[in-house]
Amino acid sequence: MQNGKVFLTFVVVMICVLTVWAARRVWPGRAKFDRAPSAASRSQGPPSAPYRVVEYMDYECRHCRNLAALLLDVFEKNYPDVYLEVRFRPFKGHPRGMRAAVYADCAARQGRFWMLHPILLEKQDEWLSGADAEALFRGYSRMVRSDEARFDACVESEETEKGILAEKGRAESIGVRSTPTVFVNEKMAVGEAAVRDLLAYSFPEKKAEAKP
Amino acid sequence: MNAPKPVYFIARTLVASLFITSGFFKLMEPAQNFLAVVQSYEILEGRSAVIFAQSLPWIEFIFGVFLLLGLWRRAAILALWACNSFFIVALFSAFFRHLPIHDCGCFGQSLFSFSPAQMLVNDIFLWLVFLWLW
Repeated sequence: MQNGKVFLTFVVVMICVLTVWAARRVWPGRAKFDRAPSAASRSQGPPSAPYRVVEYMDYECRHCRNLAALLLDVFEKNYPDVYLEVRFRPFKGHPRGMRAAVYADCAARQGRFWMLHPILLEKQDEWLSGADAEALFRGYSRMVRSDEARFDACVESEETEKGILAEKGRAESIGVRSTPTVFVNEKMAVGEAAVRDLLAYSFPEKKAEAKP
Repeated sequence: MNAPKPVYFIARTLVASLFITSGFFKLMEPAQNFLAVVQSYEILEGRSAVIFAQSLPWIEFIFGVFLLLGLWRRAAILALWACNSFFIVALFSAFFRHLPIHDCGCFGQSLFSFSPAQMLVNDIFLWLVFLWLW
């Protein structure tokens, strides 16, 4: 009787494990990490570098702001062994974060992403609490844009926002649900603490200790 | 407490289904997503958080199946009741420390979304159901 129960337990556990294994193969959000640079204009470093650091972020996310300095520090200390790329994963309830991403994407199209990106993060409190975030975004971008007419057309275009939403969809297809999510090659970390740990582990000689 | 058998069976099935669903959805997500949820409660950190995040979904799923089938029923109730008690402590702790948690992360991040306060009420009710099932 007892042996039969133990055997039945074993069979049930095996069925559970196999069910999860099989479901994971077809479940949306379990796709393989996309190594292809989807936003080359938002990247730095050689695409063939041995370390590919890809950050999924939302401009309203405070932990993303906290990590910005660290990611750039890791990039600079390990160049040219690191390729750094920023991908957008704005949240539905973060309309200002979405607009910030639109401005950043338009700056990227003029090769100015790495000038506007740190400004948007540094001034996060200002545009999150300000009455007219759009005016503030225009002010920041005035400092970095090169072709004013093209930039204004880009930020007004629905296509820009659609492109960011498509990028968000691709992020969700590989299981990116929250920000910051950072991949170092295929290793994934979610949340500020885990990202700091992953960077410290991946780049041990360059201590990941830079604070915001 | 002697409950009518059909009522007991329905309650047991519902509780088991709840844990099977919760464990299954967490298992379908990359483990790092649930690890981030665990770390956001600021109770466990480092290796203990990783072990907890990787094992809890399996415990919920497998013991949920045991409870559904009536296999090792008392042990399954005890294991899931222990999980439920831990959730209550974690949610209370988050609530009183005013941690910025907007989604309890109880069902992974793909299906239902409950605030810690909503889930605390649900978990206290569930704790009483476990007491009755025991």
